[in-house]
Amino acid sequence: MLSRKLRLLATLATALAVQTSGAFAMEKVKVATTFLGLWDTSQPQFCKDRGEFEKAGLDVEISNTRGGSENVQSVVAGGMDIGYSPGVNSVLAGYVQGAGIRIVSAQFTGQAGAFFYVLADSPIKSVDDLNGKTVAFSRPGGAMEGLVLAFKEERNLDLKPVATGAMNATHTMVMTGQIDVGYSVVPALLDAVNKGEIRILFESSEVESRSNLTDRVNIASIDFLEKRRDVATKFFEVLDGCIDWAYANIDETAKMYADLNKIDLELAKQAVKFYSRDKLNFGPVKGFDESMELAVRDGFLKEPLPQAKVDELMDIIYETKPQ
Amino acid sequence: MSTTSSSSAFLTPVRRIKIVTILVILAAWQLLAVSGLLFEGVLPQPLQVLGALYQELLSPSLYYDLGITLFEAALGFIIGSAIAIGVGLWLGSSNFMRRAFEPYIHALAGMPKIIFLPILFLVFGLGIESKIAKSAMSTFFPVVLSTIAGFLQIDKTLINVGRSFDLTRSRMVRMIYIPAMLRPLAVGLQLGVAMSIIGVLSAEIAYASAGLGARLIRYSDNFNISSTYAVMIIIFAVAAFVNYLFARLQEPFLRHERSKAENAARPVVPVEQT
Amino acid sequence: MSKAKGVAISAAPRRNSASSGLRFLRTIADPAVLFGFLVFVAILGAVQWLVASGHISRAIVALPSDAIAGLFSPEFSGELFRACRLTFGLVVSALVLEILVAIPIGYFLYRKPVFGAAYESWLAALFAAPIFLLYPLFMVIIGRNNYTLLFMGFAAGVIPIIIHARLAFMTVPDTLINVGRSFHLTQSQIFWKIILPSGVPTIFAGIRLALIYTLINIIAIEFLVDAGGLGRMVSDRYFRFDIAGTYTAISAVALVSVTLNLIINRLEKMVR
Repeated sequence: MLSRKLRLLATLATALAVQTSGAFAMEKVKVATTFLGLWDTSQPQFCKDRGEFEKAGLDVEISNTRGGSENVQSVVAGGMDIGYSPGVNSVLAGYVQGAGIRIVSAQFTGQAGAFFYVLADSPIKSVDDLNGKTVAFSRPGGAMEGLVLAFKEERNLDLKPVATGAMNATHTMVMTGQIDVGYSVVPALLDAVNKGEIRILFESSEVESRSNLTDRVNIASIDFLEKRRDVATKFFEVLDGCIDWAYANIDETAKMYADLNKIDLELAKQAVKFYSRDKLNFGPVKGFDESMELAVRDGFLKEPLPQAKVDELMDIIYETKPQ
Repeated sequence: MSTTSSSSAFLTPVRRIKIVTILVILAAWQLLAVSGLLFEGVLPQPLQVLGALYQELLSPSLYYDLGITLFEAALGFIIGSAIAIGVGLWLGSSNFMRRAFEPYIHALAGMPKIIFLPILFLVFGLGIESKIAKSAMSTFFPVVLSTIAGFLQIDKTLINVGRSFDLTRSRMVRMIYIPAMLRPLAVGLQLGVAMSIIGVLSAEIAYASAGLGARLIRYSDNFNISSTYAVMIIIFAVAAFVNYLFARLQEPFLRHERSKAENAARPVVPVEQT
Repeated sequence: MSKAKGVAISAAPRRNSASSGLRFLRTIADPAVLFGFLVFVAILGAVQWLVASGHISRAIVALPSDAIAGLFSPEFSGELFRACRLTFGLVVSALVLEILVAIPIGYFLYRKPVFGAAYESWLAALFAAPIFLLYPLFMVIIGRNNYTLLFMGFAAGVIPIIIHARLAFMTVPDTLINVGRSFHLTQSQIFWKIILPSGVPTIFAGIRLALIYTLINIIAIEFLVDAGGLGRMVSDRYFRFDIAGTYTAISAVALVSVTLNLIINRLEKMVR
């Protein structure tokens, strides 16, 4: 299992090397995704591995960043053409500080893929038992904190959000009783759920106030849009086709997803069920005004952008056709 | 301190202590891992780590990451120490300039360089350029400080001899300054090597898509704890090996002035300057 | 090596403080210092112009004036104070632990030279090793809390004190110890009355080094895991893409560590 992932990494590395040397007459597109390994953010990689970009004359190079802020930065200063899946917050913060970027489409709408869990024998049996309990989120201002706060508000719960860092550290803190409720993003810890070590208390999709809000977007550098707008559009068109294919051929993509995360195929299939196709639709950003308010609350923006600025920032170049 | 003079037998008391210590550590590790004191999965057993280490060593991508890290560290070291020696000679040779700028260098040298990473990432981007810059920055400070210190300890008569021969500035540097300050410079460079590796790793951990630091953090993020330990062991071994290699490379240049007794205290004293 | 005893330590500061104001004035008046400062200001001015005129994007380099102004906002100073309290609290706790652990180990290695010889090269290697890299392990073993920060600070600082303590004891002149023996002092009396006092300057050098190592490592890990005090101030602003705030926080941490270094240097002069 270990070697499978490593072999994959090695292939990726060599593929990258081969690509940079050979391949002419292809349009080069440099894409940064956040958190490679998640179902939605790994789609460009899957599409590339299947050779679909190449067929369309695109030479796509994918690197991945560990968070939204770095993703935005990789487009601003790191020579990336497209930033895939940064959070709205980081994009707004970058934009008001003069970053030369535009939002070209929604990447992910609503909250899916994350779940909150307790120890199997925890006295917390349902969300109603959460009053006075500690609930983990990754870091202040991060997406997970927003989710916990929204949940707290809409269910009128007296829970205490606590920053616990990465998923593995959070897991330790739950297992050792330092915190009551942990968070995880699939496929991580699904095996622990299946083994009965931990129990899912609620899923992120149950946070209703966030279910119709675009959480993550895709951005492109102004320069890229000005000089090669057609290439940018083509990239999303091809990728959209790939995502359709991924949902039509779940067995095969679940295998790629499983390999990438070094997990069992069954677990991968189980994880994919957390995401419905429409969550990954490209197109206009939903609930942007509310997102701006949240960005102000979380310290990414000082005040919401005026409409003229919003219009400037938004440059939607591609929309998924309704099925 | 060398009590290891009795090299006739393989199992000198010192060797025996080393071996026993390693065995004790391994046993304690094994016991702790199976004791249930720490919750399962957090501390793998030594054999599991050995297995992961074996897998790592077989994997071609490890050598790719290793190559990236060493490349970044080496280039950063060369750039950083070249600038540092230049600046150090300049400040060392001018009393005025030294009084003007040394305080700033001292101030920066005692700081955690890692907090400059955001600036390096912003200015040099997220690719290998920022890692090289971090490595150069980490190398710069120990080398520049030891160059200045080295310059100041040069015997004044040596400099006067050079002047009396009407040597040009570049020949002064090559024939008088550098040879006369070889020892402190070597100490600074040795420290610079260690720092260049640490500097690169810290940048790779904060953000990178390749390199040993990135590999480590990727395993850690993926809950792959045995491989995390394995990569850590590899990193420590590589760092130790590079330090050792560099020390050996310097030896021929320093042999005529290095005595064993001095050597014992060597690793400790100069580091104060960081 | 001077033998600094308790009396000397307490007497020194008074003598120092009388002349320190004068010395400060003399330093300021030095044309070289003035020149260095002017160059520093000129560089800031040049950056200010480059950014203000748009030659450098504000999304990459903050206006120096913005970054400096940030230092003086009341919320910032409040946060800085809390961050300093947390970070220094951790550093001091780690340092106390380091001293308590390292000096006995150093003494043991001095008393049992075979062990000293066996571990010497390991200690030197550990000293140059990237200890902070161990943090992901302790994050999962201990969890994301102050204990992880404390432990990582400890792990970085304990090594230099061990090395220096052993060295300090090794370099105590035999004659001193022989004098103690001739007075029929017990081994523990010899340690407390002779070995330890005469080793103080060297041990202090180790402690000073440990303090810097501990501080650097704790701030580094605070930065990397976005927890704790000073390091977190930087990573938090960077995470929010607050460019001016990032530069402000970096400057603040720089000022704090410069101040600390000045204090340590002053203290060290007193001990010598």
